Amino acid sequence: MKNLFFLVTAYSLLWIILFGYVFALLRKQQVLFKEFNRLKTVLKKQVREATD
Amino acid sequence: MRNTKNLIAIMSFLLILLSITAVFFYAPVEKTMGLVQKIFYFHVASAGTGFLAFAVVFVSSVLFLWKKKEVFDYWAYCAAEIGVLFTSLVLVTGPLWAKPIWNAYWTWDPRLTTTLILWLIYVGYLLLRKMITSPEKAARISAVYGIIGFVDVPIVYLSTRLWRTIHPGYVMGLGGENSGLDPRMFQVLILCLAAFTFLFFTLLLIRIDIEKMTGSIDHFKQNM
Repeated sequence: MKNLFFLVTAYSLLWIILFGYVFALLRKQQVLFKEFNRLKTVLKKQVREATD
Repeated sequence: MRNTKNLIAIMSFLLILLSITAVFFYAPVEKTMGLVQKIFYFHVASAGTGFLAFAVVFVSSVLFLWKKKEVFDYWAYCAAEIGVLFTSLVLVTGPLWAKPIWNAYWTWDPRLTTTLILWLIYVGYLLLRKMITSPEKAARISAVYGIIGFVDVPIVYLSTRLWRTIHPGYVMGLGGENSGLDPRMFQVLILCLAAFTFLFFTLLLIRIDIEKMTGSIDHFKQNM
């Protein structure tokens, strides 16, 4: 029974760390994608204003 | 390219599900250690994937110094980060397996010590990159560091043969069929290794995308 505690703890930590990293990466990717699109819109606006 | 990335991600997810099922429903329970031995499958798979990641760092660093292409620096940096992640998993699962078997979470055994050194080497690699402000200089210095740091990987692998140790010997490569591992255990181990290898490449591709996007945004901001 005591061994089961170590098994459950090891597997829990393993997946928490792994999926924590995966979700952190996906979140960062999403934030960067939004920022990239925002900058693109700003740049387009600046170009339009300069040509008008 | 996007389809390939999705395919690798789906493959890794399916292989992980399959390997967890195999660990608990296909692999036999070890007679002496009991259920806790099931930590072994992902512990060894994490170690193998960590080695693979550091091999990618090594090869990419050599290619960066040779070809001077930024893309190899991205590969090296991202692989180092993921390598540290998998080595951290080894260092977390190992002591939890050791406690009920050796009655201690940690001993300064050659295999354990060299693995800890390996982890510290690549944490140092990541810190070094953060500390150097010039991107070109950071890439060049960390490439040299990545090549030298890889020396510890064969030392970790050979440590059970080079020194007296309480850690189990080879189960992969040099161990082969003489490792004393049940064939079903060996099959499950290979499955876990395959799952983590696919996961490594999934994470690597996402991480490289992030690095490239960060570079583009910085470039954008500088030119605005």
